[in-house]
Amino acid sequence: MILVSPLIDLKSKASQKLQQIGLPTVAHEDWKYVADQDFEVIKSVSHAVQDYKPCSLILETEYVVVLGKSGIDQGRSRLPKNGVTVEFGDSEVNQNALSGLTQSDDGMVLKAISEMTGVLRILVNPQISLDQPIHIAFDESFLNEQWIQPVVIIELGEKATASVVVHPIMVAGGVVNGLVVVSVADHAQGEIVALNLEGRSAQFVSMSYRATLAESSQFQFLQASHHAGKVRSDVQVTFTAPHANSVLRAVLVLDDQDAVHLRTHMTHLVGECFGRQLVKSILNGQSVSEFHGGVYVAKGADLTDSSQSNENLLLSDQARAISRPQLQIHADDVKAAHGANVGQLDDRHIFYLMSRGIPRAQAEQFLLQSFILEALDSISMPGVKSALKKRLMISGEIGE
Amino acid sequence: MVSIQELYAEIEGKSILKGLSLDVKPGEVHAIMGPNGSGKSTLGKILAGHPDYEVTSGSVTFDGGNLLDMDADERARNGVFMAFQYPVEIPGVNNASFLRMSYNAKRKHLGLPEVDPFEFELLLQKQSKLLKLGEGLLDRSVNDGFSGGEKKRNEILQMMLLEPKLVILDETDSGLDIDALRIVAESVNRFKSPDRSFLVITHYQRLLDYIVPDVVHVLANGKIVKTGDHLLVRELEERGYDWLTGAIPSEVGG
Amino acid sequence: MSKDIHAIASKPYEYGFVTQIESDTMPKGLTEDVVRLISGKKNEPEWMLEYRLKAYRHWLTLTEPHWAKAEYPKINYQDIHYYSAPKITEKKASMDEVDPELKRTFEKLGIPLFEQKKLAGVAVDAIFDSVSVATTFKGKLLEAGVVFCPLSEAIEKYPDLVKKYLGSVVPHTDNFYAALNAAVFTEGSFVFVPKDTVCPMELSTYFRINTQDTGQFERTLIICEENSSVSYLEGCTAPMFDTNQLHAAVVELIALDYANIKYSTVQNWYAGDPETGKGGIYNFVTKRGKCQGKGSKISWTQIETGSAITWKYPSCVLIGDDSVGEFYSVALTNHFQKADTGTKMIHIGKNTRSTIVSKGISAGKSENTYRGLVQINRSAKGAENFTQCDSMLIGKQAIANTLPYIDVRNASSSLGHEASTVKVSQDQLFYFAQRGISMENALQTMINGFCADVFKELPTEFAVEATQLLSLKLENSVG
Repeated sequence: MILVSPLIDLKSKASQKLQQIGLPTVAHEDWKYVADQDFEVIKSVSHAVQDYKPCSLILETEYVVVLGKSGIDQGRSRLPKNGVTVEFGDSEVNQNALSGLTQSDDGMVLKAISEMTGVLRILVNPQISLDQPIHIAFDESFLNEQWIQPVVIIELGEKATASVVVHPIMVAGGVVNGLVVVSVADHAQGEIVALNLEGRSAQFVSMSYRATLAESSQFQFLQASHHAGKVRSDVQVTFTAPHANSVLRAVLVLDDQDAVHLRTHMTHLVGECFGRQLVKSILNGQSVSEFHGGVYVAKGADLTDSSQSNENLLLSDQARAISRPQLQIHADDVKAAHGANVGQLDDRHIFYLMSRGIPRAQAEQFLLQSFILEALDSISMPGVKSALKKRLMISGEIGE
Repeated sequence: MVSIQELYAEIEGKSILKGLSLDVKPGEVHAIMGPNGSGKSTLGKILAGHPDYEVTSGSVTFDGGNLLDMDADERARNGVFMAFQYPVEIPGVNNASFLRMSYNAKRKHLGLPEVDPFEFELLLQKQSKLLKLGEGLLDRSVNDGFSGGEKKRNEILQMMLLEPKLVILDETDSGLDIDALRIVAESVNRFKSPDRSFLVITHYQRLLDYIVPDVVHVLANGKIVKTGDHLLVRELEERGYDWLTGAIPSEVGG
Repeated sequence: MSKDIHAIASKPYEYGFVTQIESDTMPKGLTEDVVRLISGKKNEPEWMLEYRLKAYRHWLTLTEPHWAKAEYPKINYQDIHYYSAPKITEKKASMDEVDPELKRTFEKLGIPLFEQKKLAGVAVDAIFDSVSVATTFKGKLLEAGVVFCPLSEAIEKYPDLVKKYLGSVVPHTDNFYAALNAAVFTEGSFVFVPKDTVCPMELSTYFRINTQDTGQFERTLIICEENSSVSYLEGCTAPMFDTNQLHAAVVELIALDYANIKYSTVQNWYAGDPETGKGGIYNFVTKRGKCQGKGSKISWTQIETGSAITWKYPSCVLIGDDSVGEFYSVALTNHFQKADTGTKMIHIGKNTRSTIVSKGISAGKSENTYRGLVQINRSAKGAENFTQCDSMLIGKQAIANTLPYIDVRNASSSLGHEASTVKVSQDQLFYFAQRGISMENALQTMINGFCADVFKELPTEFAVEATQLLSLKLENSVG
C-alpha cells in the first residue's frame, strides 16, 4: 500500500505557484533580496554557532519544544500537559491552515510549503491560559543542511492565552526559510517573541509570520535582532473581525555586516481594529536596516486605528537606514499615521545627563539603552525579557 | 568658592560676556539680575560647561581648580549644579533610572559604593515627599510631558540628591505658581549651608522674596554694572533696569 | 432643513472647448522619419537632430512603465500626432498680428498675452499644441539680461547654452517618457538668468492642447547663474475629448552658486468625463532640478487637479554644499482620476537641506498616491530632511496611498517623516452648517486649512486661483 501524504496536494499547488513567480528578487520586490542561485555555500562554521546557547534564555519552569530534522525530540522537550497539543507530522488539519498560503505572492513562503517535510503544530484549546511560555528550539541536526525550512502552525482556541518564543536555528552556511502561521480565535491572546540572534553563520535567514486575528483577539509580536547576519523577516497580520488588537515591535541592534530587511504589514479587512508597528534600530559598523511597513485598510473598514513608527539611530557613517512606512487607505473614517526618523543621539540630552555628573560615554550608552527599553519591557515573559535586556544592554545599568 | 576674572565668551561668533568678574565665597547667596539678553543665562550655562559657548578669555576658579578645564560631567561631579530654566525633555529615558545613574556617578567620584535600585528608591521617596513631587513623575520619562512646575521640582530634587557646592538657579521661578514657588524656595533655604554657595539668576524680584541674597549683581551687556545688598532688589523693582544700562559708560570709565 | 452635500452646485470643466483654427498637423505615428520631420519643421541644426535620433533609438529599447498606482491601457504610440501647429505663414513681428482666434482662446483661458493687459507684471509664453504662439515682455526682460523665449528659438540663438545644459539633468536615458520626449519634443520655454540678476517679474508658460489625439511633448530648460533668481509658473488646460491625450513633458532646472529657482505649477488639464472616466490627459512628466552650486535653492510648488492620470515626481539633486530643495504639493483627485505623485530629494553635498510638504485630497472613486524618495548619501554630511505628507479622504470610494522611501547613509544627518490621514465627515460639515456656514464654505475652509502650508508657497497672483480651482473640482464629492 502506498501512503499518500495528505499535504501532497498542498505542496504541489505551492510548487506550481512558485514556478510562476520564483523567489523574490529585486526585479519584482522593492526590498532587496537575492535569488536562489546567488546563495554561495560557506563551508566553515562560524564561531557564532557555538556562541549561542538557546537554553540560557529558557527558565526551568518553562515549556520547550525541541525540533530536529525528523521531528520533536521528546527527550529534550518539556511539553505542556493539559489542553495543549504539540505534534509533528503532515496531518490533514494542517491543510486548512496552509491552503490559503498556496496562492501567496511570496516565493519564500511558497518554497517553504512546497518543500516541507512536516509541520510542527501547537494547538492551545479554548479557555486554556498557559502560565509559562512555550519555547520552540531547534537542535543540531539542521547544522549542515543547505535549506532549513521549518513550518510551524500555532492555533489559539477561543479565549486561550499563550506566549511562544521562536529561537534561532543554528546553521553553518545554509539558508533558513521558516514559516510560522498563527491563528488567534475570538477573545484569545497570543504573543510571539522571535529571537533573531547569531545569524551570521547562516547564508541568509528568512522568517515569515502570518497571523490571522478573530474578533476581540490580541496578538503581540516582537523581533529582537542582534548579530543577526543577513535577515529577511516578513510579519503580516490580517484582521478578519472587529475589536482585535495587534502590536508588532522590533528592536534591531546591528553592527558589522548585519543587514535586516523587516517587512511588517497589517491588513484591515474589517473596521474597529487597532494596529501598531513600532520598529527601532541602532546601526553601527556597515550594517543596514530596511523597514518596509504597510497598513492596508479595505473599503468599508471604518474606525480602523493603525499606525507605524520607525526610529533609527545611525552611529556609523558606513551604516545605512532605509525606511518605507506605507499606507494604503480605501476607507474614509480611519485613523492612520506613520512616522519615521533617522538621526543620532540628541546633543541636548547628552549635555543634560553630563550636567548631572554622568560621563559622556555612559550618558550615550544610557540613552541608547533607553531607546530600546520600552520595546523590551513589553515582553510578558520574565526570563526572555531579562535575558534580552542583558544581551542588548551591555552595561546593565538600566535593568531592574 | 568660585572666582570669575574678566570672562569673555561668545556663541557662534557673537560675543555675549564682555569682561565679567565675580567672586562668590562659601555660604554666600548671590543674585544675578538684569534685563533680558544681558547674558544672565549665558553665565550659568558657561559655568555648567555648555558646549555651544566658547570662552575667549578670562578665568574661572572653582574650589581651587580651573573650572574651564573640565567637561560638563566633571564639573557636575566636582559640585557644580545648574537648575535649568528649560529642562530638556528626554522621551524614553526613565526618570528614576536617570536620577540613580547621576547619583551613583557622584558616589563613585567620592569613592563611595554605588547604591542599588532598592536603596535608592527609599532615598528618592524621602526627598520627593519633601518636594511634594508626585511619585508618578519618577516612573515617567525625564521631564517628558511634565508641567512647568513639575520640571522645576524635578530639578530641585536632583539638586538635593547631588549635594553640590555651587548651585546655579537659572530663572527657577519662571513657570511656577505661588505654592510651587514656596515649596521650591523652602527646599533651597533648607539646603543652605556654610560650605555651599548659590548663584540665583532671575529677572524678577519674586524669587528673592523667598531666597534672600547676600549680594545682588546687575548684569547688562555682558558685564556687571552694579553690585549691592538685598536692598538693591527693591530699588530695581521700583526703577527698572534702564537707569543702570544707561549708566554703562561711566561704570566703564570708573 | 437639511441640505445634502450632493446638492452643492456642480461646476463643469470650463476650459473644455476646442478652438477652430487651421492646423498644420503631421499624420499619426512615430518613426525615425517623423523625428527628422519634426527637427526639419523647426529648422534645427544637425546636433539637435542627432540628439533626437539617439533618444528615439534608445526609446525603442525601453518598455512602458506600469509600476505606478494607476493602471492604464497600453498606449498605441502610432496613434498619436507628434506635431500639430496653428497655421502661421510667418513669424509675426508684433503681438497684435497673432491670429485673432488664438488671441480669443487665450483670453477665454484668462491668459494675458498682450502687454496692455498686464497681470501684475507676469511675462507669458503661450504654447498651443506644438508651438509657442506668443511670448510677452521679452524686451523688458532682455534689458535685465534675462532670456525668456521658446526653446526652439533658444536652439537657434543660444546653441552653446542649450548644448551644455539640455539633458544634463534629465538625460534621454532617464526613463521611457523622458526618452520619448527627447526624441519628439516640439516646444517649451527656455529661461536664462545671468549672474547677479534678479528676474524682474514672474515668468509664466501656458500650455494648451487643442488638437485631438495630439501628444504634447514640451521641454523646459531654466538656468540660473551665480547669485541670480527667478520665479516661474506653468499652467495647463486642454479641451474635452473622449480619447486620452498624452502629455509627456520634461523640465530641467539648473541652479549655480547661490541661485534660487522657484517653479510653480497649476495643472488643470482635462481629467476625463466625471460620470464614465472616459478621456482626459495622461500626464507623464519628468521634472528635475539640479542644485549644482553652493548655497543654491530649488523650490517646487504644484497644484495638481486635472489629468486622468498623473505620474510626476518633481525632484531635486542637491549637489552643492548647503543647497536647499523644497517640494510643496497639493494633489486633488476626484471621480475616476488617478494621481501618483511625489518627489525625490537626493542629498549629495554637505549640509544640504530638503523639505517636503505633500497634501493629497481624494474624492469620488479616485486614487491618490504620494510616492517619495529621500536619499542622503554618505557624502552628504550634516544633511537634513523634513517630510510631512497628509491625506484627506472625501467619501467612501476614494483611495489614498502614502509610499515613502527613505534611505540614509551617514551618521551626521537627520530626517523626520510624518504622515496622517484626515477625513471630512458629514458630521463636521453639519457642525459648520449648524453654526450658519454653508457646506460649500465649510468644505472650502477645511481644504484651505488642510492645504495652507502649500498655498502660501504660491506666488500671490495664483494662490487665489488655486483655492478656487480646488473647490470647483470637488463638486458633489462629500456624501
